[in-house]
Amino acid sequence: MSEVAAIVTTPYPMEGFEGEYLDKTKFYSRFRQIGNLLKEKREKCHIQGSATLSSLMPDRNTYLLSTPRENTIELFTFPHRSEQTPPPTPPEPTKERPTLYLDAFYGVLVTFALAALKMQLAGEPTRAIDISQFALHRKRKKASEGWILHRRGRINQAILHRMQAADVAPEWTRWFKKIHAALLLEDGWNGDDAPPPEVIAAVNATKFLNAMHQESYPPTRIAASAMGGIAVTRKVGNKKVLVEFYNDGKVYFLFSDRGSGSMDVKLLLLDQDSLTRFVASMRDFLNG
Amino acid sequence: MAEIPVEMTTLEKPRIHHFRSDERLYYRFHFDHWEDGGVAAEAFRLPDMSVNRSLLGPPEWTILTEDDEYVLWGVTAFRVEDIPVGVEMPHRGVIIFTFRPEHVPLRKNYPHSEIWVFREEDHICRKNKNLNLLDPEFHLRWRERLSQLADVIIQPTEEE
Repeated sequence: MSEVAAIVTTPYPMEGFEGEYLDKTKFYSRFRQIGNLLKEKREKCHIQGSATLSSLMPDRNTYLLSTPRENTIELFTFPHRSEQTPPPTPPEPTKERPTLYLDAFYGVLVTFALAALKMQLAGEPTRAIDISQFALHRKRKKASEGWILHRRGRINQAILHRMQAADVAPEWTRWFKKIHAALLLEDGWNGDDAPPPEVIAAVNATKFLNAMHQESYPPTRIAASAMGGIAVTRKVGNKKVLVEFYNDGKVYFLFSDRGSGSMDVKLLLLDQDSLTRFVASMRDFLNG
Repeated sequence: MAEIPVEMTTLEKPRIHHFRSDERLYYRFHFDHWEDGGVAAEAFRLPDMSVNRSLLGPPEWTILTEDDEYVLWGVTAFRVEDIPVGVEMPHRGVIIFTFRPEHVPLRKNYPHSEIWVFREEDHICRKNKNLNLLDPEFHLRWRERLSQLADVIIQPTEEE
């Protein structure tokens, strides 16, 4: 079968992943080692499940998920049907590019849950992915999970995730699911030539949604942006704040007031302090 | 399966380059982009946004395809002068963007047109590999403005 999602468990331990704070350099280095081991010893991996997923992922992506408590990692591969015309590969991250390491990740997890669902629908063996454990915890900084995104044999994105048990109310779950659902869109989903949202856009949108969640300030709409990415909106009367998370990782926000005709557009930074301040400024603008 | 009316097909019909400033342009949008009776800014796309000309067909043709793919989508309309055409739009005081509609008939959609955007003299489009010339700050403002000017002609329906 040429188009499958394979979920593979390997016995390689994640050293350098157990400290109070994650050593990102070690994390990345270890993941590279494991990636090479996987390439060399692919036949020793234990395939847990597979399904046709041609419509699920827009590109050939391989995700490595560390599960340090079990001393294993899992490998997810999503080949794509258009391998003859590969898109340009983003540059490989280096130690000088720490911004590629993101400390929150939610979107891909549900993507995999959907993958598991597809497997079930296809009647093929699968393994459950418990997504309830994936929620951010405010106090503990330790990242307990990490993801590496491979594209065509190259590591080009590393994502760290804080995995702690926390409840997400149903009214918030629907917004997180909106982001994950956007990842399932295909090229040209708007009936024109809009690209589908990329993982980086979903990760950033999730990070922003987490900040809104922490402040109990929900959006009024989340949808894919025809520009390529994900848009999160909160609208109150004539006033609106729209934040667009683009596929190149950039994030811009718009404050718009139809009553006065005013518009303000700026770049949004995604560190926790900036996000907290931004949500407060949203509240001031929309309620003012 | 819907049937495409003969009048909607291009056949040997010519391209009509002139657009009147009060001509309406139709744009289809998904239910997810329906916002308080209007259409959200993120529904719009640059460059080369596909629209249908009111001069050459009714708004219903904008969501008419043989496979009924867009039968539940909505249609919004704005005027050519809303783009606007022939107006230099300064960005950050130095960069000049201009717009113009271009009639680009498709085999089974004669009214199909595109909104082209230029930075200085450069046509920004995928083919020219210069999408980086389109500043996000600029296109976000432009799309929001268009969403404020556009009217919803056909309301979208939520998919089950």
